[in-house]
Amino acid sequence: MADQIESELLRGSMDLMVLSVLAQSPKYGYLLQKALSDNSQQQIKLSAGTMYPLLHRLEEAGLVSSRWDESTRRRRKWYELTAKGRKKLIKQAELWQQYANCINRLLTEIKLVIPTPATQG
Amino acid sequence: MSEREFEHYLTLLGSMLRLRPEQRAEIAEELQQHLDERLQDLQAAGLSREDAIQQALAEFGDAAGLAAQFSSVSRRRYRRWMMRAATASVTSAFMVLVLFVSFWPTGGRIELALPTTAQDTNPPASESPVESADPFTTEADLPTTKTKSTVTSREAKNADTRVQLETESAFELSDASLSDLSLMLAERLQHGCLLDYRRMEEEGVDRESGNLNWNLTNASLGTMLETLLDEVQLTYQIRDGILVITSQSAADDDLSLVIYDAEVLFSSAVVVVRNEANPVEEMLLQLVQQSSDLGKIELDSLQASIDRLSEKFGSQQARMRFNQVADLIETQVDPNSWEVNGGVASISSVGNRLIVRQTERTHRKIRKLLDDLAATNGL
Repeated sequence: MADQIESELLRGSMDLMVLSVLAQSPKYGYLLQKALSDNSQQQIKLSAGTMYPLLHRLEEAGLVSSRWDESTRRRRKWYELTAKGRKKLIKQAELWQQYANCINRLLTEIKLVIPTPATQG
Repeated sequence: MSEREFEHYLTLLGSMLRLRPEQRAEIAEELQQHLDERLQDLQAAGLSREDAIQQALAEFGDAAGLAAQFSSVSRRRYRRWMMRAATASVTSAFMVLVLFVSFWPTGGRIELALPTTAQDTNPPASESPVESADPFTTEADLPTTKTKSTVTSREAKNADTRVQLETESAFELSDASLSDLSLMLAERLQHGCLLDYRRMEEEGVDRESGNLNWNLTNASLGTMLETLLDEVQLTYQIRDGILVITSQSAADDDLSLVIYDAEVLFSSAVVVVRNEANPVEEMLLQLVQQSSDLGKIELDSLQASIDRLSEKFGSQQARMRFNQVADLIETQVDPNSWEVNGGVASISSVGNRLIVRQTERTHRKIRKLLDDLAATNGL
């Protein structure tokens, strides 16, 4: 059970990460991976093997849309946030914030963490 | 070497993606572009091509895991089974089976080279395809004509489904639920497939449960069905041709009655009986031929005697053989399920037909046994 929650949590947060990076601008897979890594000061390395299935899942859910770009030398599949995806991102971000605050409060109670200003997200 | 590895990886991945070909091609291309781009960057950063390939692949993770993830995306997409079926081969296999089934009673009869003397009292029975032309067993034949139409349509549907369960085909199920399985079967079976929700729920089995996987290419539909249902401890029935997935206890409560035309099983054996094991008839025949001085009436009455004796002897032989088959079935096929051993199933015979009340699964085993016996002339 604990594993399930954890993997759900992880998946939820990965969705959030990808959606947030795409919210800045449309990206193709490789670019998205790099942007994620750069935006998180190399803290988050989403492997291609995880990222592509995730992108396809988000696309199926209608949160992102994709199109092939033939104009460059290399054919690329660009992903873009849909209106639905944007709504979802806002909602998920709120939830995440609440969740993080909640966990933080709990940990603060038992003095496991000292409250710090949230790092850039 | 490494170049090869790169290609192998993509080929392997492609082959493991359980998706429609166009989806597969698209995913393969997207991943290939990514790998190429990564390769370029790594080489630009100073890695040798070989090292770059190694690293790019390592970052990607194993092909099997990746393929499974994509397939699971697709599964969520359809919430249903994915299957590749060689439709043409299934159809042709089915046609062959239908032909086989519809012709075999005739085939069995043709084998019986009857002496004209015996046939005189029994004109060839052409009015009914199930009636036997064999004088040894005619008296015991079932009068099936009256109830035929309704019984036949229902039985014919059941028989269709049983035949279709024996068709072999290549299909794949990936992490399918019971609903998925029943959808798949509904498409493959002419008369459809249902889930008996009520009885399944009584056993605490949910229709969306099951983590069913199948990718054997040479197994029959029935074998797949039974193997997968074993995993969730369910079974099936056939009602009006419809395959019903249900609980074990429901199947035990409501046995199927199947009438086996075992004539085909005995045809060759009966010929042997006539040729070798009926000394009385042979003796009398010789007597008739040698007695040129006998009058017409006496000849006729002798002929009648021969027929009676032949019939009696023949039906006795047949009876013995049926008992043998019944014994064989009761001892070889799920012995504990039979009435004689304290179970609920039963077996009886009328004429040259075995009447068996059993679960559908055991019927399948009986069919296999009888087929094997017929194929080897095992009696």
